Amino acid sequence: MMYNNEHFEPVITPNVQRPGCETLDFYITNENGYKGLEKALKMKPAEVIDEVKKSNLRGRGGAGFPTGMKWSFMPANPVDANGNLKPKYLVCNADEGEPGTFKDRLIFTKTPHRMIEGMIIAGHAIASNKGFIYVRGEWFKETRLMQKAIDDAYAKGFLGKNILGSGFDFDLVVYKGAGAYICGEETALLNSLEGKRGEPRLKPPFPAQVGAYGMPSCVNNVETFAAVPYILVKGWEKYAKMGTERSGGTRLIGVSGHVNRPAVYELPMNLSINDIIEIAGGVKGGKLKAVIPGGASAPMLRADECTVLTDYDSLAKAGTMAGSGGVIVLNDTVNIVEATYTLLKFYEHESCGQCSQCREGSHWLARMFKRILDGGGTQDDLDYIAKICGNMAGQTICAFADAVTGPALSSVRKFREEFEELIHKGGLLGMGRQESVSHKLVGAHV
Amino acid sequence: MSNNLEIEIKKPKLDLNYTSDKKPVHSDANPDVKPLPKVTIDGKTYEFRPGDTIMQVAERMKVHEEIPRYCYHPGMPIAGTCRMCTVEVEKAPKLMTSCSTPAADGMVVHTRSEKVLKSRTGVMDFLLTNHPLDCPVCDKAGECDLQDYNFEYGPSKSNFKEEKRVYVDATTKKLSDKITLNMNRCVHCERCVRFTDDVTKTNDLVMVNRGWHKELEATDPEKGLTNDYQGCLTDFCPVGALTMNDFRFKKRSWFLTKKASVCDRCSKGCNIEVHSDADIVYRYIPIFNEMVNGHWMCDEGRTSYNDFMNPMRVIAPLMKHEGEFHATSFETLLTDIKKHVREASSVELVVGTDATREEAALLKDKVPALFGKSMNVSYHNGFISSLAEDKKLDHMLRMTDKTPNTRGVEEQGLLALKNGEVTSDVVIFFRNGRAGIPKMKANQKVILWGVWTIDEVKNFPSQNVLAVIPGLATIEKAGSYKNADGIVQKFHPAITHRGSALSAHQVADVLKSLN
Amino acid sequence: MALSEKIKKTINGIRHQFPTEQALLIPLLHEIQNDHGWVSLDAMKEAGEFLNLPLSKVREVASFYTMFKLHPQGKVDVQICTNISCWLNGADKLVSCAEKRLGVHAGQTTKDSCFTLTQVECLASCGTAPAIMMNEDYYENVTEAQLVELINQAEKDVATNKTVGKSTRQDGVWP
Repeated sequence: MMYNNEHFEPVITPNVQRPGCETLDFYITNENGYKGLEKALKMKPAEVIDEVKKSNLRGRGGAGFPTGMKWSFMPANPVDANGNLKPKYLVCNADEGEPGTFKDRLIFTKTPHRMIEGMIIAGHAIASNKGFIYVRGEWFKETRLMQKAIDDAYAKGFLGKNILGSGFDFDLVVYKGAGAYICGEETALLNSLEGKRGEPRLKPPFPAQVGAYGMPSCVNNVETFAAVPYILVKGWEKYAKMGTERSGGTRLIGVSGHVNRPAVYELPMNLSINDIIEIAGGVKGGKLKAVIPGGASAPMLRADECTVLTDYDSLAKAGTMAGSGGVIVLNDTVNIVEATYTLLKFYEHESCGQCSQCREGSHWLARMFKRILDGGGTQDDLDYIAKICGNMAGQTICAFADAVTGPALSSVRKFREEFEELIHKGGLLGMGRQESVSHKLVGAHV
Repeated sequence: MSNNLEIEIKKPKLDLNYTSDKKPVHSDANPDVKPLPKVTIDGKTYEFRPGDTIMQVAERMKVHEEIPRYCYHPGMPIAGTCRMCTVEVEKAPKLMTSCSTPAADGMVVHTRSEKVLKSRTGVMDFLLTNHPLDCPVCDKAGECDLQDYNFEYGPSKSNFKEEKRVYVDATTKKLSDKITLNMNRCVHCERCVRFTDDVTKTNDLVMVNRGWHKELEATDPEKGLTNDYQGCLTDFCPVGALTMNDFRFKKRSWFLTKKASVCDRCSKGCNIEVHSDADIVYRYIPIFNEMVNGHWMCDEGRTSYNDFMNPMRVIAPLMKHEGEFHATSFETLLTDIKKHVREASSVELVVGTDATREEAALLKDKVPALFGKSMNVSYHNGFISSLAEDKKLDHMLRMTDKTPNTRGVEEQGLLALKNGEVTSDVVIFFRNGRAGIPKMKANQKVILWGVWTIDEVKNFPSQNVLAVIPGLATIEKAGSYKNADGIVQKFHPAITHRGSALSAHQVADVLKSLN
Repeated sequence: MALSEKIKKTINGIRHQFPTEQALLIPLLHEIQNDHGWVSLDAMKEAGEFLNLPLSKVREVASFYTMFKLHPQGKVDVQICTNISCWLNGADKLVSCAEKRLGVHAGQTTKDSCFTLTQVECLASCGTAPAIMMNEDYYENVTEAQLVELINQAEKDVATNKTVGKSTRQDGVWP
C-alpha cells in the first residue's frame, strides 16, 4: 500500500481478524507463541534490555520514553534498611482512559497472550518475579478474558514457578481500577494499586526507587509489552528498521470521530495525518476541519496542518504530540469551541484535586468556555485563557495540567474566529441553535 | 528524674499493612559526612545537613523572607500539593517544590526570580477564584496566610467572572463542639487530614470526592471530631476554614498582645503564647518547643485560660466576719490570720503542686518564720499519689498529673502530705488553681491562699474557712516549673493582673512589714 | 450486614496476591458495589473492620472513584459516554432520547428504582462510537432505536427478576 516502508509488517495485529485469535493454542500455533520468551530466558537480563534498547521501542502510553532505558533504570539488587533484598514489581498500565484511545482494548480482547509474554520477558529483564496488570474498572469483560488467558498460561507452564525449566518464577495478578482517568498516570496508578486514592506522587523519588508498595517498580503500557515478543523473535534490527531513526516499530493508531471506517490500524510512523484519514475511509459528513492527533491531550491541528508526519519527533516539532495514538477527526459541522468544552468538562471531572492550579484551573476553564458558548463571553476572555494555561502548565505534580492546556490553548490559537463569532453573536443560541450546551452533570458524582 | 533528654528524629517506617505515601523517601543521609555539602540560595552559599530539603535549609539559615507555603508544615508529613513553595533550581527543567526537594551538593537555587514570582502569583490567582470575600466576618483575618501572601505576591485584580463554588451544607458546619468548618474558604492544603492521620492518629477527618469539589468531613458524621487536639487544627489551617468556637467572633487578631508563658493544666508544661487585649485573655496558642511539646498543645490546656478569666475568681483579700466573707485590705487580713495562727495548737502549711519553684521555696523557708509559728510544710497533688503514677494519657502530650510542678515542689525538699489528709487545727492551703484539695475535717480552720473561685471557697470540705488570700495565676507572674520530662521552664508575666491579688513574695513582704 | 460471607471468601481468596491489606480495598468495594448496587456508610465501616483500615481511608477511596456509588441506584445503570468521539457521533442525542424514554434527567434514578441514567467519560470504545454501558456490559454503535430497545428489554428483565447487564460475570469466579 502507500505505507512507503518496505520493512513494514504488522507486529501486534497480524491475526486479529481471525476467529479464535485470543486463545493460547492459536497463539502458539500461528504466531510463534512464547518463542520470544523461550529465547529471552536463555539470554542474560542485561542482554534482553540491550536488545530492547537497540530496537528503539518507545513507550506507547503517551510519554514515548525509550523502553529499554526505562528498564535499565531498575536497581540491580535493592536492599532495605535491614539488608534484606527488596522485591521488584512490574506493572502494566491498562487504564486506557485517554479520550480517543481504544487500542489496548483490542490487544486485551484479541491478543492477550502477546502482552502476557511481553510482561514475562520484561520481568526476566529487570529481575522481577511479580507483575500486576492494572485494568480500568469499566472493562469487566476484558478483565475476565485476560484472567482466562493468564490461567491458560499458568496451566501450560508459561507462568508460575520455573518457567520453561529456566529457574525463573513469574506471577501475574490482575487488578481492577474503579473509574478514574488520572490513574493512567504512572504514580497515580501505583497509588491506586496500593488501594489508595489515585493521586500522583511527587517525583523524585521515581518508581524505579519507590514504586508499588514502596518497592522498585517499572510501569509500561499494554502496547509496549505487546511489541516485546516480536523484538525477541525477529530481532531488534527488523523492529528498528520499520520505524524512524529515533523510534522503531509500528504504532497502533485508533482513528475515530468523523471518519467512515473508525477502527484501530497498525501503521508505520512515516505516514502523514492525511494518509491516516484516507486509510480510515476519509472524512465523513463534511470537509475536514481539525484533527486531534494523539488523544485528547494533544493540541489540535487545523486541516491545512495535517500533512505533518506522525512520528514522535515530527509531531513534537509541529507543536503537538504523538501521545497515545488516538486520532480524532472533526469535520466542518463541528463548532470547535463546543468540542473543546466537551473535553474541558472531562478534565474538570477527572482532576484529582491535589495541585491548586489544576484543581481550580480546570474548573475555571470549563466554566469559561461554557459561558462563551452561552453567550456571555467577552474579548478579553480569550487573552485570559492563555494566561490561565500559562499559569497551569509545567508547575504541577503531574502532566494533567499540561494536558488540560492542550485543547484549551490550541483551540483559541488556531480557531480564534470561532470564539469571536460566539462572542459577537451571543453564543450558540444567538447563532441559531435550538438549545445551548448541555448543562448536565457527569455521572452520579456531583 | 533523669535530665538526659533524647530527641529522636524518627525515620519514616513502612508499615506494611497500610503504606503512607505522603513522605518522599530520601536516600539515607549520613549526617556525619565531612566536609558538609553546600547549596547556594539566592547568591549566598550555605553548608547544610545532608537530608534537609531546600525549605529546611532556608529556614535553618534564616534566608531572608520565608518561602511561602500552604500545605507544608514542619510537624507533618510532606505533601507538596499546594505548589506555592516552588523555587527555581538551576539545571532542573521545571520549578521544584522546595518543601520536598532534597538539597544537593552544588545545587543553585533562586527563591525570588521572575519565574518563581510569576508562579506564586498564579497560585494565588487560582486559590482566590473560589475563595469567598469573607475577610470582614472571618476570624482568621489579620493572621491569614492567604491574605499575607496575596499582599506579597498576589494579583491585584481577579478575572474570575464565573459563579464561585459553594458548599451549601458546609458553610457553617460544626465538626464538633470546639470546631466550626466553613468549607467555602478551604484551600485544600489537607494539613488537617494529615494531622489527624499521622500526628494524632485518630483518623477523624477525611477529604472526600476529587477535583474541585473535594470536601472536608468528619470521618464518622455521627461522632464528629473526637480527638483531644482539635485546637491545633485552627492554629495551622492557613485560612479561616477551621475556626475555634471558643474564640469565634470574640476579638480581631490585630488587637491582641502576644506574650509567652507556660501552660499549667498538666505536668507537660507546653509552651504557650497568651493572646490578650487590655489584660483580658482571649486564647492560648502553642509555641514550638522541640524538647517539650513540639508544635502542639491539647484542648484542655488551650481552653484553660477560662479558669483565670472566671468572673467568680477571688481577686480581693476576703476575711470571714460574723459568718460572711468581706473584702478587706491585706494588712487587716494578714494581721487577723497571724492571730489565728499564733493561737492555734498546731498549724500546717500545705503547698499545692501547682506552686512555682520560687513560691515553694518561699513557703517552705520563709513563711513560717514570718507568721512567727513553726508549721509542718508539705505538698499535695490531688491527682496522683506518687510521681511514678504520672504517666502519659496518650502518645502525644497529655499527662495524668494535672498540676504543673510536682517535681519542682518536691525538689525543694518538701514531703507529700501524709495520706493526703490534713490533721492540724489550722491549715494554710496554698494553690494556684490546679492542685486538688486534701481530705479535711468539717471544723478545721482553713486559710486559703492563691487562686480560688468563690464557689470553691463556699463549697470547701471544711466549713470553717477563715480567710482567702488571693494570689496570681501562672500567666500573671514570673516563676518556673519543672515538667514531666525534668526540664525547668522559666516564664514571665504575660498579662498584668487587674484585681487586688498580690504575688506570694509581695504577701511575704506585707507580712514582714507587720512584724 | 453489608459484607456477605461470599464476599469475605472471595477477598480472602486473593489476599495472598498482595503485599498489603490496603490493596484489597478496591476489590472489596467492587464486590460491595456489585452486591448492593451502592456503597453505604455502614458498608464502608464493615469494610474498614474487615481489612484493619481506619474508616477515613475507606471513605477517601470510595468517594474518589466514579464507579463506587454513594447513593442507592436503580437496578440498571444506563451509562452513556459523552466524551469527544462519542459526542462527535451523536451521544448528546442519545442522552436526550434516554431522558425522554426514562423520564428522568441524567444523574437521576427513575421513581420505580429501575433505571439510573448517568453520563460517563470515555469508555475506550471510540472506534464503535457511540458506546454505552448497561451495568457491566458494553454496547457499541448504538443508535437511538437500539437504545430504546435495550431499555425496553432491560425493563422486562427486571420485572421478571433477571439480572441485567452482567452477562460475563460468573458466580464465585474472580474477577
